[in-house]
Amino acid sequence: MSQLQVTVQHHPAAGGGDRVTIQLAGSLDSTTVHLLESRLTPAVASRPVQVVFDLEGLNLVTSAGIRLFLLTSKQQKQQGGQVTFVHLQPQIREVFQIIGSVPGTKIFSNTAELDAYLIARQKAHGSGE
Amino acid sequence: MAEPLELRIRNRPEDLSPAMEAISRWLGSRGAFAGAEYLALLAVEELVTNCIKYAYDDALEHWIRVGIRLSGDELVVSIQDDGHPFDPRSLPEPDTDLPVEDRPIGGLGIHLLRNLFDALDYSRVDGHNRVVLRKRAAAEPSV
Repeated sequence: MSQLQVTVQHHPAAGGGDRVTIQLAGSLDSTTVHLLESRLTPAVASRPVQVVFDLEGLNLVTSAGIRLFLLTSKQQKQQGGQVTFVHLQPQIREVFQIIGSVPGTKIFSNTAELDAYLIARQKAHGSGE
Repeated sequence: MAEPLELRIRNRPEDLSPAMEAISRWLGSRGAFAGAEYLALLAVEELVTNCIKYAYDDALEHWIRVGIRLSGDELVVSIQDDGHPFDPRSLPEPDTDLPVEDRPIGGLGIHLLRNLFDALDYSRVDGHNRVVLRKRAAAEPSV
């Protein structure tokens, strides 16, 4: 069986609100995408300001998984949240490059890079207040 | 001369996972080039899933034939089915001027395969669709 492990963690975001990190491991394909779908709905029910997909353990993503990423990005953007992706393996990075950049999403090599971006973004937003 | 891996997959979604595992094991045991496993699994998942979903009007059992071959530094994946004629090359390339979220969602899998493989060939022979995908190991790291 192709398998997918989904781990959901909630943290307070730097500037208030909820930051949800969703760690994926295994294969995100037509067989396993429903598992992620069922875990995502409650995970984003709190209307998090940041949704982070950590793909370090993800070996395969097919168009079924990409569709769910696109849908999630779109929904989050409409709610004023932001979706980021970290730790993409080289081939998953290549798939993302073919799909093209998704408005409202960002890709980071590692968590430090992601944190630096989020802090900078927070400062930029905060400076106007 | 390496023997190819030949699989027959029933047109039932639950039959896909065991086939994908068999492909992983086979490529692993043959020391395929880095990335070959990803490509083979992606191709089989996308094309066999399409076939299970769209190729048949009846509720009968059909068998989809999958072949995986490594010859030298080339990976060759072939998929053959007896469904409706469908040439994946006939799908238009997505309009890359549109934001991703506004593009039609269909054809995403085929778009990926066309970009990741060196060649995608199609033929219709004796009432069967046959798709053949080829990829040579990268001579230098891809950017």
